[in-house]
Amino acid sequence: MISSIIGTLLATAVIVALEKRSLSGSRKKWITFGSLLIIGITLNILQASRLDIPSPLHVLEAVFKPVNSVLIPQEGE
Amino acid sequence: MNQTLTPLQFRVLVVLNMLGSSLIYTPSMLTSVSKQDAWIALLIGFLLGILPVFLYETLIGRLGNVSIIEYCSKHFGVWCGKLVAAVLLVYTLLISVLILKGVTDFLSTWILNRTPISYMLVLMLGASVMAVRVGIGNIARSGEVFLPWILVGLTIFYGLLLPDIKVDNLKPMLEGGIAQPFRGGLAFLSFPIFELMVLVLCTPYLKKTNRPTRIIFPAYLIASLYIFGIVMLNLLVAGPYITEVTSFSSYRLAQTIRIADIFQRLEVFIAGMWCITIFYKFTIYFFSSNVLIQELTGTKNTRSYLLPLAMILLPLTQMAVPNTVYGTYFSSEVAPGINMVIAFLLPLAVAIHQLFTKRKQV
Repeated sequence: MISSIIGTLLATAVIVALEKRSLSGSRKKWITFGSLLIIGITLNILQASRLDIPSPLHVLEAVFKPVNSVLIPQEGE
Repeated sequence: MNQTLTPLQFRVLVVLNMLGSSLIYTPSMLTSVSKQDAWIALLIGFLLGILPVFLYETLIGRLGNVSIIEYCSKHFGVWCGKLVAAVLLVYTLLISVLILKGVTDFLSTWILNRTPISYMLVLMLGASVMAVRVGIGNIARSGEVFLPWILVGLTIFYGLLLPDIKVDNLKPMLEGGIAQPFRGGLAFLSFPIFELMVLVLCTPYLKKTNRPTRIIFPAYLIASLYIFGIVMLNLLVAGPYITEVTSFSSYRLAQTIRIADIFQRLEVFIAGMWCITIFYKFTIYFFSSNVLIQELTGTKNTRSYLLPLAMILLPLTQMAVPNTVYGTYFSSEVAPGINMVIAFLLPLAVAIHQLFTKRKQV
């Protein structure tokens, strides 16, 4: 687990070093880039921690399962 | 960065987008719903699919070089544009995750048994990041190089299977009435036809001059023909039951090819062709996600978000679909509804609005 976290942080450092030049001068780009990176780091560490995390698709399932049953005819109808 | 597409390149992307993943998944998906009538289901799906294809063509024609997000922000307000961008971003990320899950499932089951899934994902994402960095024009041009080989390869593959055909596998025809193949047709409509929606997001990059009116339709015809071929051969050679219970039936089918006991093990070729098409499909989704993030935040022409995006997709794929059972359940029970709303009703609403605003101006 520790090695995965170190790997994630190393990858982050490499990404920041690679993209530093193209991001300079635009604050908006930095904010977007930073927030994407923070989401990425969080997800990677969560995954490395082997916790039992519910799938994010459950949210979509809750919203679209009823829609699906209305729009698409199910078996036995 | 080369960011223009010619009509031919656009059609190449349509074919690759339709063939990617459906080559392997469509036969088992259709036979699980329609049994031996899967080929009738495919024909129904093809006929129904002309409607969304016509819708996407109209949208592409009317939008010109304005993206659908810009259109929404202009006519319904900035926040509506942002909302549409956010919804479409969730959609593209979802489909990306499902594609990546499909390819890693396949590779870890049949070819790279002991390779950890993260490594396969890193390779796939790395290739896509490189591809999107050089621009969509170059992606399409390399597609132009690959597509003839894929089509020729598939034709040879179909030809080699012809001696094993058993026509009895198709009987009894229409055993459960027309309703059974019709439901299969609806499943085919959702995947892969509605997934062509992603190409509407690529319209700003299409060259404005000499744009033909029927831009998607010829490609749709060719791709449907090849999908029809693979479904038909799966039914005729392996039979509906084996096609239904095998998770990657086309690959299993390719394993049966033997020419005079000398040429065997040709299945890796179809796996290779499938991986190439799916790479293009995933790259187009990845490209669109990047474009949508730019539209959402109002930053233009940047490639800096690709690596963080890949970093998000890497754990997201493994978290979102923890096992194949959930993946199958999600793509058969939930994904059709999502496709219907986001990839059909949303563009339909935009097209209807365009229709009425055009009339008002005249």
